[in-house]
Amino acid sequence: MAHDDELREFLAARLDRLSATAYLLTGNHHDAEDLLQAALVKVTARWPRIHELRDPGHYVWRVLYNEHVSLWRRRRRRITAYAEEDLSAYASGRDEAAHVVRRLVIQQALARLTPKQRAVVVLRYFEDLTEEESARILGCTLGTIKSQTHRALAKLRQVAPELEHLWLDGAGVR
Amino acid sequence: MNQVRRALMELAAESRPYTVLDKAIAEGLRRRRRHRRVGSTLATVGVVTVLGAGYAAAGPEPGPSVRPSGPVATAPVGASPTDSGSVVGPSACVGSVLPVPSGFAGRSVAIGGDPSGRFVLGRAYESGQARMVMWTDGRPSVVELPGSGDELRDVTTYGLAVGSSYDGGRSRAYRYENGVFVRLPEQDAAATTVNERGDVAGTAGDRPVVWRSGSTAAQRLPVPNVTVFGDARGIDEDGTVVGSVTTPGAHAGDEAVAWAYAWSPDGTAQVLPIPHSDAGPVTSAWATSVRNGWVSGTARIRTARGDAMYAVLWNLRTKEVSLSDQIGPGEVVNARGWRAGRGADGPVLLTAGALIRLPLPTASRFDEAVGVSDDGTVVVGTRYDPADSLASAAMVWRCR
Repeated sequence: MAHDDELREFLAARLDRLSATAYLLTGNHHDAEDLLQAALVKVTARWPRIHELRDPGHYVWRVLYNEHVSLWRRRRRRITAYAEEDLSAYASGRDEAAHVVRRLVIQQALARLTPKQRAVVVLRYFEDLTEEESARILGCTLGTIKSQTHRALAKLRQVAPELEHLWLDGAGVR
Repeated sequence: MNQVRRALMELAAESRPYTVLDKAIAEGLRRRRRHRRVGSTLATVGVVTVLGAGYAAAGPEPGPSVRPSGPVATAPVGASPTDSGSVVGPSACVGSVLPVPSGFAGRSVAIGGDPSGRFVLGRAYESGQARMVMWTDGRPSVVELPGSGDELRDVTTYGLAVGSSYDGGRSRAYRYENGVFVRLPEQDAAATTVNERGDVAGTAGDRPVVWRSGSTAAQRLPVPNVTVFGDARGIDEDGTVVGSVTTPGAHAGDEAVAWAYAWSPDGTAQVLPIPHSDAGPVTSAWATSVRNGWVSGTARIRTARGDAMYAVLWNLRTKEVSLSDQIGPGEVVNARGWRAGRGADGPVLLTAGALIRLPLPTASRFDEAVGVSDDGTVVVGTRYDPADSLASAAMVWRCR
């Protein structure tokens, strides 16, 4: 069907970006792949209606983010295990491993957030969306986005004080 | 915000395109057929949910919902112009939307402009993906840096822009002129600011650096040994760099503290004076732009009701510092010490004597100004559709 050729083309063009989002939301390749597949199954099933929307790209995002929040319980155990991985081996490492350490610290910090907080952080700071846009993607109120952002930044500050600068820049200014 | 963005970009670079497309489409088509057998009502319910969440249905007119609505002008509000100096500021501004490159869906944002008002940097969005755009005399062109997550941050009056992008998860700094990128040396580097001489400042490995024009190596700017992070955010025509340095709190468990810094052309560092506030102690300060000895920035104040962020203006010549309540934090300064940003009700230009509203046909609380020319006649910013904040447009206001 012509619609489905269009669908394949539409998704193929976004696969890199959607994969990156799925990876940021889950923190590992295995779960990212599961999440992306679950979301794209839903998008395909609903495509005859979706493709008429003004911006189907945003709808795909919405499905991905909401799948992330609802799939979370199944992933919880594994995320916790990852979060408690001992980083001291990396931290004592050499200079050229600095960026590896930094990534792991960020990963570990993100893993301590609730799925909604994590989604808000990714929407606001990776997708570059405003609070209102984020509220629409997640289907929640502006107040929820504000409080979740606040809590997420506070949590990050608490669990990864070495990355203080990351949220000094972002908190409260806007 | 850019620091968080940077961290996420770095992580995102570890992802790979997951080859789920064939499987997902096959499974999705199976589900669609099953639903059709169950009855078409199911599909209808699905659509109602989508529309109810605020997604516009396909209309006869695709494209931006933020459109130029004709010139709108307002008179200045607040104090009358002072007679300090011979420069009289503009009294009113007229705004217009910058066009998006052909083939783009309509959403765009402005990041900044050059001191003459000729060049504007921003982003335009296409299917949720952002592309860098440079407007020259109002004409847009797409700029693609090597790598991903590209961002140009500052530009000179002759179109030399600086920025950074990611390659293999590592940030790389670039200068860009006439379609040619030149990578600036240093690992994990980002270029954030450039002056007319072509001196560039930014960060490398979470420390402030400057790439002096004509020099092949980066010069590291001095910071205290205990520094957690340091960055350079603005560079003046004489080579003075401003930025901030974050150090651990005085006692274990204390919050880290950011200090606004200025580094003289000879490399010596000074901590900028901390402004006084009756609202409570200033717990951190950041310098974010500099022009002709004027430095703008932000201070965090611990008030009885919690932390609050305020705009700050320093004068490097007189060492004076003041907090502002007419303009919000994140503002930018021009050669006359005038600032553009967001006031209580919308984007504003704050001159020596007047607070000038930057008019818009509608108001959204996200509307903002992000750049102002040295003579104050051109201000750049972004407006948002109050009914649909997914729609935004890069703007230019002309003031006289």
